[in-house]
Amino acid sequence: MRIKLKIQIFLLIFLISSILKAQANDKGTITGVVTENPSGEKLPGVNIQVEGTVLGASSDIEGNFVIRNIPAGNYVLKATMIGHSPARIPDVRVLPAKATNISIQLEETTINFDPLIVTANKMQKELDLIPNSVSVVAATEIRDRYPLRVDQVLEAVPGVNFIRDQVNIRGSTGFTIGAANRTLLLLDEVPVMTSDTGQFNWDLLPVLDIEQIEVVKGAGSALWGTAALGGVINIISKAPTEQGKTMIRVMAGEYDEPRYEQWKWTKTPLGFGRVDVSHSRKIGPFGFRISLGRHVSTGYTQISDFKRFNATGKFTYKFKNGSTWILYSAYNYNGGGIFVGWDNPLNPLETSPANRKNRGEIKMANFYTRYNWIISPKAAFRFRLSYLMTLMGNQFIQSTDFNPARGLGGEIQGVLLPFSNTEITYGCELKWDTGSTKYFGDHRGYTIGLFGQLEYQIRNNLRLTPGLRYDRYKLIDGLAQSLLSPRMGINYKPFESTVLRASAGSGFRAATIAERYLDFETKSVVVEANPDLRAETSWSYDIGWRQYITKNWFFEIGAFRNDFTDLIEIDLRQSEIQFAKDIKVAVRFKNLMEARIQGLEFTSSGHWWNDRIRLQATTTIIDHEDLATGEPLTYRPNVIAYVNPSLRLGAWEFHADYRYASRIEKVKLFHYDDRVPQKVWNFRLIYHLRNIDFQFAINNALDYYYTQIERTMGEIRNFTFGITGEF
Amino acid sequence: MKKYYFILFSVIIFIIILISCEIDHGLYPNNYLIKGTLFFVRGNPPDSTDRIEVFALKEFPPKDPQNFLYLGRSGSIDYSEDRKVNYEIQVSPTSYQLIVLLWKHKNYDWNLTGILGVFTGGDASTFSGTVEVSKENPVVENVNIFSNWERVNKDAFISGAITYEGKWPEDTSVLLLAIYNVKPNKENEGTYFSFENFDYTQRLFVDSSSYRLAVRSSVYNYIGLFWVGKNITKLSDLVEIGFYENPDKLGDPGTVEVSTAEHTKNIDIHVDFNKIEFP
Repeated sequence: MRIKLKIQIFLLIFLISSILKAQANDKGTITGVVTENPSGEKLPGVNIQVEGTVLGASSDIEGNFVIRNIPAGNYVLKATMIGHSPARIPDVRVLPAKATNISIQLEETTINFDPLIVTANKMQKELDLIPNSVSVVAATEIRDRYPLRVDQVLEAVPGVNFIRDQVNIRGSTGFTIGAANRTLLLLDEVPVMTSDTGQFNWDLLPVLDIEQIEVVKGAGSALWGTAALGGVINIISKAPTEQGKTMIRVMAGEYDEPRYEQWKWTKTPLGFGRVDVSHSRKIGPFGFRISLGRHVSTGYTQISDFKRFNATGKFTYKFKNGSTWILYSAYNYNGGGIFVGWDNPLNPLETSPANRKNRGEIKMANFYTRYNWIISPKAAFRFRLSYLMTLMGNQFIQSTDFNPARGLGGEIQGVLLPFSNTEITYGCELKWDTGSTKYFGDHRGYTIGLFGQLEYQIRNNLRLTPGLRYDRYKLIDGLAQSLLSPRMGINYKPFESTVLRASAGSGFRAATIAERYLDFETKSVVVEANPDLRAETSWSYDIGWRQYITKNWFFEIGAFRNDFTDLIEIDLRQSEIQFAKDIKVAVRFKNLMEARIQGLEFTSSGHWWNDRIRLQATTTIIDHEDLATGEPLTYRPNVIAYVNPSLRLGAWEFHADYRYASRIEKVKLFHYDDRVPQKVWNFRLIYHLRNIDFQFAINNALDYYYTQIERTMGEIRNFTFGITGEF
Repeated sequence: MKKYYFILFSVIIFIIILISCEIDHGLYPNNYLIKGTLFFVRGNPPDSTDRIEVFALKEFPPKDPQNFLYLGRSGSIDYSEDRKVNYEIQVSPTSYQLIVLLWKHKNYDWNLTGILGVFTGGDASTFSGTVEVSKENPVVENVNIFSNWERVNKDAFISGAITYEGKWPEDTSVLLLAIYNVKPNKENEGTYFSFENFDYTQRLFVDSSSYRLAVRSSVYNYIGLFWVGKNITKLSDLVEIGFYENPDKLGDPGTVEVSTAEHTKNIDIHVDFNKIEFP
């Protein structure tokens, strides 16, 4: 057995060293300059990649770039930059020991339908070459929406909807009442879910510093491991800019009074404000981006006020051989009231006197460091270490009952391009979690994952992507489980304007420490531990057709199916209860359910009249079923839709958003309460004055009242004024 | 071409405005209420009273009488002022099978055996009244309850086992166990209300169960168990399925004499479904 292992290691070393050796001789350099067409302005920060290699560079402040150590031969260069159409330069000839000079021109555009994404394959790839269903939100779209939080941006993504703070990709999560999310959230490909409860805090993510958001739909555990049951959301933070740049955004808003007299609960005006400052620059090979943000609100219901603060720093260093090092750190404080639901339907914006002292706070710190090591044009490694600490406190006035939850993670990922039509991604991920509170004791656990994926280009327009991941997770002194997560994807471009894709893959989510060990009793609820909780698993099947009608207009039709097994749900002994003052409800997390979610998704996006008019529209039809009872799943709508027309005239922009979610058929607690579909219109007017943008928005403009979960009103009409300056 | 796009955009804006004009504001104040009056017709509150409340139960009988489901409750009722008190409960729009005034002992949780009175549909001959609350009928009034403090003012206990033989009728709704000084008479339905105490929380479709009822010290000549079908509307439709038999003369009702602070045990009842005719 040992001899066999040694032979395998030897072969691997031989393979890598052969590739290195083959590339050691006859190397040349590509130099060049990137300008904007037609203005001729030099463009800094353009990402230039040599296709078929791991080599690349970004243009400096003068638009110049240098890519060294390229084996002699003919190459294709790809140049991409936010706000510009990507450029592809074929037949770039590299000669031994010589520099090839290239001029690249990029055209300005506000929408790029085929951006580079990283989440689907764990390496950069054009969206049109991906076998999965993926949606991307670019920085320009985020800017246009003037969000107060990241989740407000995600609401516009096809197939995504929120049930309170819980994100759903095609109905994956529902509302889990304390159980974790079934969507993996990543920040720069690093998981940012708390180690004890598996929840995530949207406030940890800096709104001003987001480069791109990628949403991969369907199970993604073959690459990402636990929690990627229903999909993966990857928030990619901006890199430091070539030029020193300071960005300031100030926003202030006011909640309208409820339209019904009997719902008014205070005479004090209710409002909110947010200030963000960010500075970024590069000094030689060193770059940094630092941001500070403050967000306060009175809330629009009783005790939903909060004060939030966040600070982030991103530091980079680029080595001469193209390797890079990144250090990212973030801190977030979030303190405020906890509105647990109205007590009396006559006053839906008030809570019961007994709950009016419910306050809580969360402090989170997040660090990661990553070293991208380019060994050769055909091989690279990435090393990552990450740390996420969460400290809850003062929850229901019991401040001493919490200790920090800590998650320590590490990953080694390799990329190998052994042949011109083959890309291999492989690696190993480790995670160590600890959680400790009065309510679930002191627990620790680890996860180890080994993964590999091959992208094989059968023909110029046909790609096959098989992958496999093995995970073993274990809580110390608790249950251990091993899982295999395979996937297979195919991408076919029969015509230049047509993309067909299909994928199948499995996903899982290991039970969190809180789900297994939570054990406490309040006056009305008894929560019992269930240490034997198994991982919930899923299989996803997805097909899609993307068709470009013109260069500026496409539509996409997709069909999907997710089969879930052993879903972890709260087992309520009583299904229809009033939160009792005297009668106790016993609950525990259990592997309760087998479920199926299937549906269709239609998306179309286009811009016309020199980008003056834009329209994005998406509809997702979701059929969900508890396979044991044949009943619909809780907290899932059957239809979600989003429409966003916009008009740009000179310095003025007008945007309208319409979000629709059909009436939720089934809830867990108050079945007989009135429920309505969600129909929300937001309007925004933006005026650009040189480097300053002024924005006025009316959110929930038609004053529409709805609930996503029982007895908690969705955000009521509010007015926002914001200024963003970039210097 | 530009003109065409401008028209297109104008149409979109027009549609938006059109939709806006319909002005659907979603949820609106809708006060679903059950209202009525409580009449305290007999007795006085025992010293052990913590409080009393009206509960609205959607389903009856409950699956777990110790942990019953309710969709609305009145809050604590002030019973000190008058023998006639108005109440109201905010509820969800659905149908309610039982509106009940419950008594809570100072030292114990709410329990469905602490019944002071139930809404009978306004007709003394009806067993329990169903209340329908809906969008069309959001406020249901005159859900009046006649209450008797003596039902909870007890100083002794009777307990025993109930055994079942044969197949349970599928449309069994509830079993009513009642203790009487004098056996009730079908010809006079009012006599059914003369019970000392009663319990309708017995588990159904089981081989055996047990009961424990608080009573006042007295002599009880009839301890009977009645079957209630799902479609029953009148007290006269109750089916007597068993009673405590005289140990010396099986087939005849037995007599139980209880003294103050005494717990009289082994007052057992046997039910043989094979020998009973159900409607």
